[in-house]
Amino acid sequence: MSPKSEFLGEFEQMVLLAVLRLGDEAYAVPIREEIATCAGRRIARGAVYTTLERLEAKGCLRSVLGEPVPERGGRSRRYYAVTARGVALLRTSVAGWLKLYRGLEGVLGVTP
Amino acid sequence: MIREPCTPPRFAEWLLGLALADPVAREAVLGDLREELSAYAAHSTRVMAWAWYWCQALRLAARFTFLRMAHDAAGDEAPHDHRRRATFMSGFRFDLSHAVRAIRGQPGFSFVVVVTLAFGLAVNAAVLGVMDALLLRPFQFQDHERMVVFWQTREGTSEREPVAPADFLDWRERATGIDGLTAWEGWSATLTDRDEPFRLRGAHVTPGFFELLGITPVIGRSFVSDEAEPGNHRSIVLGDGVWRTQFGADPTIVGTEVRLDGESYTVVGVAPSRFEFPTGSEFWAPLAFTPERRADRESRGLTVLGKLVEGRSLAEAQAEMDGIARRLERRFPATNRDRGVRVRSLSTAFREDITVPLVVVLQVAAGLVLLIACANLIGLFLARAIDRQRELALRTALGASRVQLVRLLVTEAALLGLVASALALPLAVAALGVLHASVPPSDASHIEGWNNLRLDARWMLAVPGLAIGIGLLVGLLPAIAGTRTALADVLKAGDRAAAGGFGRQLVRKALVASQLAFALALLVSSGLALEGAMRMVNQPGGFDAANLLRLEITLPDNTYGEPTRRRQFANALLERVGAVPSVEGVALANVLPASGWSPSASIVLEDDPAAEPVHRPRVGRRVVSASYFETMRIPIERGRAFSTVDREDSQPVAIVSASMAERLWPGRDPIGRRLRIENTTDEWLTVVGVAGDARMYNWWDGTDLQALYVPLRQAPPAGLVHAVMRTRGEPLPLAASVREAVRSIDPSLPINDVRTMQRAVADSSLGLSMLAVLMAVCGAIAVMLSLIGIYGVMAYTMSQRAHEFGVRIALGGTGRHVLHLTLRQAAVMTSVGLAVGFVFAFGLGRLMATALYGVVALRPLPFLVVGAGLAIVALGAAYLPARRALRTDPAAVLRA
Repeated sequence: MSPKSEFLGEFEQMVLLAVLRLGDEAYAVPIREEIATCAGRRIARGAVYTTLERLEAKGCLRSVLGEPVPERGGRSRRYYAVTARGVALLRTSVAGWLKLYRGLEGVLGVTP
Repeated sequence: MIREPCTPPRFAEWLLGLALADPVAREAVLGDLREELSAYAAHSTRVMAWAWYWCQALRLAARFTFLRMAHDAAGDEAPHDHRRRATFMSGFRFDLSHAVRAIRGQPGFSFVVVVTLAFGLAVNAAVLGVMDALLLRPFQFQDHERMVVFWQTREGTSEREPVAPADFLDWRERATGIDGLTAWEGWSATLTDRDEPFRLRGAHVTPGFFELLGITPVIGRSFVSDEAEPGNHRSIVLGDGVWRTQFGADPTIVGTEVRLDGESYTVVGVAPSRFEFPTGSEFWAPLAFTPERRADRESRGLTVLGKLVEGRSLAEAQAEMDGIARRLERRFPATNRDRGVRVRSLSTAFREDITVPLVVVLQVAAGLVLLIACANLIGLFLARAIDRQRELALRTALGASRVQLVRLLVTEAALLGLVASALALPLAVAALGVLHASVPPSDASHIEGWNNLRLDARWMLAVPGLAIGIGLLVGLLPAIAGTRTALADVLKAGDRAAAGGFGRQLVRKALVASQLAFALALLVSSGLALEGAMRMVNQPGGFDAANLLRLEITLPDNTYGEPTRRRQFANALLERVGAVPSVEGVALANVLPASGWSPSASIVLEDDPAAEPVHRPRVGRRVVSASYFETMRIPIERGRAFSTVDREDSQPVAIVSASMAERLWPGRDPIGRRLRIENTTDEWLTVVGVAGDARMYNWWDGTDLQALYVPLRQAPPAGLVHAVMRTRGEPLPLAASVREAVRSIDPSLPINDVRTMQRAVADSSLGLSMLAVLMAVCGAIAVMLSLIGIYGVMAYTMSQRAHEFGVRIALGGTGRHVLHLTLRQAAVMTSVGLAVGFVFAFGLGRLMATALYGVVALRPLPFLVVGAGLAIVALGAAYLPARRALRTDPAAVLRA
């Protein structure tokens, strides 16, 4: 891995955070909704899938197919969970954010 | 979650599934979408939910497909490594740069492809421009699609007639489904206060005319309703052309007095440039009805135009007008019995019957040129795909997928298409320019829409679209064929396997055959059109057009209102012009052949006076001087010509044409029979002679051959009169002295349209001549394209078979033998092509013969000439490459 891949993009961070927040219920539909509710951003369906796939390829996520669900026409959900590597990368990213944020509370007025 | 039994559209789901190669991803994505569909459907209709699903599925499918293609194109081992995130666009850029290199690497091939396609496209774009201008949008007024024209009809006839003033006023009052009903009548007048009297074509229009058409004068104003009152009507709006040529584009012209036909009018406005409606108008004056005209239901001279109320259809307007016509019929049975109304859309109302078939035939011809071009291109691309098989095999061996190869080839073809359209557009614009310039302005103003002849933005965009489409199509077929061959075979066998299997050879033969077929059809139909045009121009007109000079003189009503004055003028003219040296004979007539129109009248026969008015025969009415038949060299078949004994105070006489005699008195002697012109108080006319038929203007059927001649002295024509001179030698050099002779009688008379009779006859078949020329151009392009195609395919096949020939000759076959073999194959191909072509040609010829009835006839000669010519050319195209293939040393071929 090149050093560049040690960093996560903003959208990748959002997806990882949403997966963490959703716990056992993390599949594409609620992930997209979670981002919409918390961050107020409506993301293209396709973009969610590509990001999930990319994160999985990077080793930040792992996925497993659940039981068949009748309202899905008998199809299974693909549940995602954040791997240890994902948590570590996320931690680095968030720490970076926090360091940059420090001292700017007066300007931005939000307590993290 | 609300459960709703909403299942996704099957096809959308299947399509999306196709785009998802990975089964796990497919399971998850399809499931997610279905789950969301249920949620969506809970607060929406089923149709909306399905539409939503379709949108989502298509967007996702597109995204996944692009990603996959980009991934394939990048050939990346680690698919989701974001170091090399290949997008679809970067894949496309790769294809594009490859295509540019490939095109530049084969300049000869690319040149032939681009030129072939450019010609095919240019011909079609130009014809589309013609169709657009003449058929689709001849009038480009605001809301022109809602405008309708009204004609009066007579029960039992298909004739459309203009409208009488009282009927128009009633319609305007009663019709609720039509806005701004307005009327006009043509008015030609002479500007008399100029250095030289100047004749203008114009119209009397009701106030509201300009408003209805959405035209605002560029200077001054249009007419106000006060000006529709007799006495207040001395205002005119000038056309842009007259304002510029006669008044030096004077910006302060409003308020100026001008003299028209000796009366004073005030200029109130100047119309915008290019506005010359109705056809060819140069000025407009208010139409003011006197009280007598307001009640007149018999003099039908108005053309009526209106605009459908928003949302009304033509059929509804027709139904409403039918009702109004029936009420008027009951109220005014004497004048309105059997009178109906026909409502037609403006775009079709003034179109000549001949225009639609002419344009359709042209469009078919242009389509054939494009088909030939396409067949050529497919042949070229197929040959090249085979040539490039080793290159493609090598690419495959290095890891390119078949999809990628097809994409490379298709991108190349599409790019060539784009380049071709860049060449085709200026070609088409230039062709339209030449076409427009080839019609003299005086004739062009008679053809509705001709002055709009240009390629507008819509067609400009359509051409590259079409070009890319054709590029994709002709590139795709050979690309698929060319990339299907087994890799190892090609690499092992080299060129030899590339000649292609039986299937591919069949495709090539089919291409040659279809090109021949299309070319034959096109050439035969252009031959038919050419033959028709020649026949029309050269057909016996019933008179001798050589060495005739003709001109128009207008006698103004105010100075020549008295028949005596007109008679005096006629006598003076015949005498003075007759005295001009080299003038052998001179005659006067109300109308001459090839003038583009012919006045007609209904006649009452003494034998059959009770005939219902609608059944009364309608014939051309010609008023001619006694010298007419001799000057025109129209033979008198029976009886006598007019002579000096036919004076105003002698017995009224008439001469009928042979066709009219045949129709009215078949098998009986017309001499001595009596007839009268309907709606006049004239006396009975006694037929004294039968003249040969003389063609007036209507060159496609014979209806204008039926004519009634009356002597000028007994009915001197008012307004427009024509003079015709038989000259010794070239007529045109005499024009000046003839003009001078007329001037010496009355210098205020405008003399117009001085030309030779031959020129007039040629002008009157202008549409057909143009069709013939255009078809000949299409035919020439088709021959050129088919020759390129046939020679190319033949030469290619022969070069591919060089190895086979080598083997045959090495095994004892003679050159003659092999030549014989190849020519026989070419002959089979040619005969199949020509046989199919004859069927096409016959179909197209039938279409033309039906559409251009009487103009184009199915004659065997063009079929035979074109068929034989094409057969020789096709065999020649096969012979030359075969000879060349044979001349090479068999040993060298076999070693290679």
